[in-house]
Amino acid sequence: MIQTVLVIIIVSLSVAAAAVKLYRFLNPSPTMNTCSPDACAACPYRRDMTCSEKIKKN
Amino acid sequence: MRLSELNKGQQGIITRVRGRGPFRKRITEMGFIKGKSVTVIKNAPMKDPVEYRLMDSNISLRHSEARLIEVEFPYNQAVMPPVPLSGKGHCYDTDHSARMYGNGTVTARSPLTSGRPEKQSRTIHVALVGNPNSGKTTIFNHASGSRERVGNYSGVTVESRDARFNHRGVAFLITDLPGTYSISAYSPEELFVRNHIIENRPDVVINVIDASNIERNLYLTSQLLEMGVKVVVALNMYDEFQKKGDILDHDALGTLMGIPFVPTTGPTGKGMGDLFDAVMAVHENREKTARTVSINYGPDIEKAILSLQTAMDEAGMGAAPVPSRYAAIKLLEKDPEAERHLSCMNGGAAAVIQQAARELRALESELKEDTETLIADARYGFIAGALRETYRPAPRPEVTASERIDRILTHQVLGFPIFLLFMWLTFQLTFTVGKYPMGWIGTGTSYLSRMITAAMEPGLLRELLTDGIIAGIGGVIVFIPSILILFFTISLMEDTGYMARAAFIMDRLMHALGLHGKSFIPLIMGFGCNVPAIMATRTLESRKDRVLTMLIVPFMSCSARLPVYVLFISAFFPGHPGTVLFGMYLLGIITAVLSAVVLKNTFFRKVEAPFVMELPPYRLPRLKNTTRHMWDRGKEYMKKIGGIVLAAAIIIWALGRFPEQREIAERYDDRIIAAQKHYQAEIDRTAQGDRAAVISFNEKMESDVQAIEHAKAEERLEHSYIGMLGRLIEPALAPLGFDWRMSVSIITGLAAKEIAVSTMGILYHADTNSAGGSGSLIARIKEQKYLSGPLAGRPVFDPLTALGYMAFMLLYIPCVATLATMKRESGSWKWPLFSAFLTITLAWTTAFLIRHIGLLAGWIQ
Repeated sequence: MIQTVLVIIIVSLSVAAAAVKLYRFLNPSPTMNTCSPDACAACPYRRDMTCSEKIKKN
Repeated sequence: MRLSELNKGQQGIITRVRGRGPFRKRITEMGFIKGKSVTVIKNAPMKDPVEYRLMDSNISLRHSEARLIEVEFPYNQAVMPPVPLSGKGHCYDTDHSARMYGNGTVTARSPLTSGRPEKQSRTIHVALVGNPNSGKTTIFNHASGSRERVGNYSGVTVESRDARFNHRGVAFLITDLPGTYSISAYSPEELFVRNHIIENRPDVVINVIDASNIERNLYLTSQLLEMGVKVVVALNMYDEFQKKGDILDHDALGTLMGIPFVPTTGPTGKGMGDLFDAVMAVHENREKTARTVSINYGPDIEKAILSLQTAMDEAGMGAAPVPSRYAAIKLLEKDPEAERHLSCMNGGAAAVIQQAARELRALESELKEDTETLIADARYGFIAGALRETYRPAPRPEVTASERIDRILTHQVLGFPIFLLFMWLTFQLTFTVGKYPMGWIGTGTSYLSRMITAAMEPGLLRELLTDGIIAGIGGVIVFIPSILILFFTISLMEDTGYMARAAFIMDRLMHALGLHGKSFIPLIMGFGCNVPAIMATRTLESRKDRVLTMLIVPFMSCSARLPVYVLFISAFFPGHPGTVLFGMYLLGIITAVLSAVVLKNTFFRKVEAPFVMELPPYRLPRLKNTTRHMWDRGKEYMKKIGGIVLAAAIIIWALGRFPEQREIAERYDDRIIAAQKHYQAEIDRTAQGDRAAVISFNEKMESDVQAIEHAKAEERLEHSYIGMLGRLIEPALAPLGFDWRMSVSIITGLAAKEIAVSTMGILYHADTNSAGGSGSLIARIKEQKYLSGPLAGRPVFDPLTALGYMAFMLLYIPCVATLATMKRESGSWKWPLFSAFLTITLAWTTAFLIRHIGLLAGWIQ
């Protein structure tokens, strides 16, 4: 019985961990560097920033 | 004559640089200016690109680019005889520069130290700026105790990294920036570095200079001077400089340029204390050397600069984040970013831009040369003037050690075969050395499994531990030694500088494919992990190049696929492990090449961008650095095993264990009881004293019971949740010879490719009680047979299926992390979805062709 309860807990935790991991892949935290030239107006690699984007960035 | 017309060993003096736009700007800034001497070192295999020596550095240019540079023979090289590769070129440079620029280019202005010393009470923000491969990240790591990736080739750092540390009780925030030859806005790295300096305003910029190539490196320093930032120069790799016998009065050079110069040796940390002492002194305005020095661009350009400064003052742009002189020079250099920045400001920006256009027209018509070149020439003149008084180069050897090594390693004919031989040796080593620790780890996991079985009561938890966690994790953990060996050898190639030569050897091929030369760096990084490789595409200037490189990076076989190869190669190709593994990597490269050709001619048609590449000197790898790199990769792998692979193993076990299926269990339990009763009756009938017959019946009973237990596990698995999923997708993969378990492993491998092996460990019941460890999974897959259907009784795996499966794992959809990174970098789901479609189509087709061509050819019965 104890073994069954422990297994239920371990499997539930694993499912939760996998779900969190997947969520983080798809929705990275703001601390991650997601600023690429094609996805982010403030990317330092980006060269075609408009004035409003530049002002917003600064 | 053109530079491309010079033969190997010949020297030329640059008379004119043709071309326009970014290419012209880049090569001018790298030192291809009027009066400089260039020597042809050699051609790459396929005769393109060509390696040239210019200002103590070796640079690779394609023929098409070299055609844009006009040269003449030096006066001492009369009728084109090839000359030995000596240091004469350098002497000529110095004399020539002296003729051109004289002594009066340095003008000193009021020193920065005029005010009170700035009392430091806060964190000093320091930015590391320098040419690619000058050792910025090594200094960053040494100063802050960080362990960021370094390598003996350009482009390793693509984004800024921060670290904090204390020096003499003062807090420092240090930022490592990508390497750049200048801070114009022509390449993404240049823009990145310039924006960082302007927007983040570091208190002090440490300009890291490769001391053995001081003249070219000082070009960037001259630009930093104009930005009005406080600069300290780290004369890095000073040990190499001293070995060459050159003499530099760095104190005098510092006085001339108004910046303190501190000799450092990054890898050993020598001079690091002095460097940060100098940073503190400059920050607190205590450093007497530090003062504002302006480059004199000559009367015409100076007049234009002054006129633009006045126009900016009149337009009320005094509060701009950069000095007005710097902004004026940028406008005269036709810097598009400067214009854009000005146009974003309020006031009379339009008037200033119009004024700049007028000045440009007047200057170019008066001086018969474009202003970008004139300004670059003046900067190099300033540098040459400063060096003439402070620097004495020692005579150079006829041929440098790097060139002697390169005569063999990048030989026109032998270059390719040697590159392939190194790759093959790497893979062979992975197996021959890796098999011993693999065996030890395998024995360890089996021992652990037997201990748990003996120590615990039968139950779900024991099953989870032995059949789920140990079978799943144990199947993957045994490959750690192979991964460590692979990364050790790759790191050796990077640290010595051979990887940059690989780019040189492959450049013609990349060019033929229409890929930007810079794409090579992300592709090489892809052998480690596809995620940072996709992020490294940020440095490519055009979106088309970025997306195309992103799409082919997943074909570079990352380390996560290695366990799959090692498993199947150990099982089915034990006679030629290195060759088959090499073949898998080669298949990935060939697929990437063919995909690039097709995509380039369909979705990504555009004009090829030029690429100028510097070849670093060969360096002896430092064992500490190489081992650290290997260990970091191993640590990443173990973290993955302890995280996503462990969670996946538990979930896969649970999906294979449930629903409970009591009916099946009871049916098989009845059969076990019947078998036991049958053998017990036979034993009872045996004549007393016939011990041999009793032992024989007991053995038969045990064997039958084990067979029934195995059949019970198989049937339960087939009716489990994971079995249902496997059966659902099996028809799609059946033409490739894959059974439902393989199909499941392909699905679970989407989370991370190592999970495919972990899944096999669980689904093929690799365990547990055999003494083979990983050998047990290898043995299991070799002995697997179809239990039902038209193929019943035939082996599931044969060499063709194994080869097809490995090819499928190599080519099919990259892992979720790679797809998510692709989405982040490209800004939409369009390209990751396209990549998923492309890769799965290619994987299926390749595996199908391998199987059916093999069957038709009669490779297996």
